Amino acid sequence: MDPLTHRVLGAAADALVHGTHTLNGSLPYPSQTAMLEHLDRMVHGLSDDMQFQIRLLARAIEFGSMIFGMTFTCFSKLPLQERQEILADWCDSRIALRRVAGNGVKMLTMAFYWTENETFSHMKYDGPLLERADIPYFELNPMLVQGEDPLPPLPPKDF
Amino acid sequence: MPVVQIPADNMFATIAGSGQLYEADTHMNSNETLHLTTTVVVVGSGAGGSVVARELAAHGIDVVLVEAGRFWRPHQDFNQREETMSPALMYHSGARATQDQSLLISHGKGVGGSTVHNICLSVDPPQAIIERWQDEFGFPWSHAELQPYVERVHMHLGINQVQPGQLNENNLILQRGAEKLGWRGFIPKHNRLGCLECGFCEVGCAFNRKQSALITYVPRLIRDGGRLIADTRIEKILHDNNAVQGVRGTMRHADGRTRTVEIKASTVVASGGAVLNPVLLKNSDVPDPNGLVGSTFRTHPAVPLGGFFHQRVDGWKGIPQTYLVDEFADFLQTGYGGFVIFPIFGHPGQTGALVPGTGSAYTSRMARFDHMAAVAPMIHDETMGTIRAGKDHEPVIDYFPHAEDQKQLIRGVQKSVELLLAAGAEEVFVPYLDTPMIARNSRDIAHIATRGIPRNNIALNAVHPMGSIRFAGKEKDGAVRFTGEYRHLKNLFVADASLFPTSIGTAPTVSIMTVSSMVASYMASERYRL
Repeated sequence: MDPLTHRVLGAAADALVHGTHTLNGSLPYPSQTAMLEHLDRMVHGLSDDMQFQIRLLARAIEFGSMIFGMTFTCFSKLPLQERQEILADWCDSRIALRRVAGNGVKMLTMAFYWTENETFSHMKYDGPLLERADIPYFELNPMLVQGEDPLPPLPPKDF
Repeated sequence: MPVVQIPADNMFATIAGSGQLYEADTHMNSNETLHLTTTVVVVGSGAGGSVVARELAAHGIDVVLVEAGRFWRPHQDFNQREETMSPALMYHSGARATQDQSLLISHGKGVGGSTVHNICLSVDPPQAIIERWQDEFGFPWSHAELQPYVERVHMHLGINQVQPGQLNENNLILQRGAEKLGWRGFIPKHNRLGCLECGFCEVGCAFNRKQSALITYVPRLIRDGGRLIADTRIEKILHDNNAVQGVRGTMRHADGRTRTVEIKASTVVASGGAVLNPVLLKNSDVPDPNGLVGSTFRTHPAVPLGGFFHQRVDGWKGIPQTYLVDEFADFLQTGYGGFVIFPIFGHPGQTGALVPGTGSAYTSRMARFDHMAAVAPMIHDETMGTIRAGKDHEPVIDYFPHAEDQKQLIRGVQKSVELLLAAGAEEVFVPYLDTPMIARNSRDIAHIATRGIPRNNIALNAVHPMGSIRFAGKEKDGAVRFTGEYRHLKNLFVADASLFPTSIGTAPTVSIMTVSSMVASYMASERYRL
């Protein structure tokens, strides 16, 4: 992701979860986790066209909020509370374009935030079994490669 | 025939060391085009392609199976982490959007395709659907005549019955709700053996309990002399407007290096799935005089709903889908309409993307993740969407449920809310985007009909793309014959869910593999003469 996209998505993610739980420290802010790194890796694997669309989305949030909010400050430079209000407004908007953009940013960032280990205790989620239990990889059913009947012929039909 | 056991712990090493696996890690040592020659090249290694490739190899036919994604070694590659596995196993992390962003479609990538990330539901082709295919499209075989192929799929996948003791709380909630309301439901079959019930099916089974195509059909393909090329996106079917000549594509390494791959073949099978097959055919200028390729796309759209309960549900634990409610699955009787209510609990990344709200309201809901149950009504859709080729070989998809399908979805959402409330939910979130709806009683349920299924204003997902290059008896109805042969280019076949002339209504894996087995049977027969 380019620096602006990185900055805007990070700013949006922090705003989306800003509130009681982040303020009292029971949840980290996304920018304090590896969320953006994982998101970046995912975006890197997308086609050029998809990466362009994500850049466009970030710019829509960054500058669109100036237009709709009639301010001179771009989204990522606003205080957390104001960013949250803007995102809430976009997510709930009656204008389809804003609603799609707001929810798009939320889906993109939150899908990678709640996979961070630091958020698990908030949800009482155990996380991957592989990280909790010593299950031998080799306790596997052997693949039985055996003779089998040949593929049945198609019943002949006129068609 | 001898019984040969290959211990699964070195099964993948056996494949890798066979000389029959080509992948970016080992075949990027030259920037010259990789040239191969074969009799049949199968493009796409999911439920359709892996079956066709394997069955042809078993007949002694020279086959190359090509896959855009990676060849997985589960014990190395599957770490059960959503942030790694969702992008790895599914295009766009399972959220490929239609052009207007109103519907998110999930389809798999990597050897084994969607069979690696699916939830193992093993449902046979519904009889009423096959009868509808016969009536409307001239499908020549009866449901009974499909059974030898269905049984063969069962054997390969080790399909067996889920046991009542394997239902987790999310599924028990469905069962309790259905029983209280007097609705019909059932415990399905699945293709897991020795399941640990860890609940991480959707991010790839790290323990080889899920009998995906990756660990069933693909190893047998290699055993029988087939070749597998991974990391290679086929971009063109080579042809002279009369007959196919092979395929060309690009092998791609994670570090960005690429290498052209060209495979000469007298027969090509398009098994890249219903989303990508039309893109391949269109980008290859495959003749399509009736404009049918990509014009009959169906998806089984569904609305995800979350109910919050007083008791802990811990929906991520245990086998994800072990009870289905088919009370309203009209298509099982008539071949038309209705819906099935599925349990759909997801892990937190997936869930967090859908839970409504921002700030403290949002994080408070996520704090109740362990008290959440999730279901989705999935409709048997009649809407026909379109797929065309966009930039970078990406599909451009137009699909939104038409008015009748919207009515089915509304009814599905209403019944699902009723089910969750009957099972004891304190409240149920209906994912409208502008004003999220919290349903608690029959008045709220009735209000769902007023809100409807507004475009871009409700979460809509689809996990069963199908029907985009359907087979039919008449040329005007389908570009493919019932043998899988494409009508307008010799020796081109299609073999996967693209072929379905209607929605199948339920989990499609067994149906896809059945139909693909039949295509392989024709290809291996005297009639086709490979």
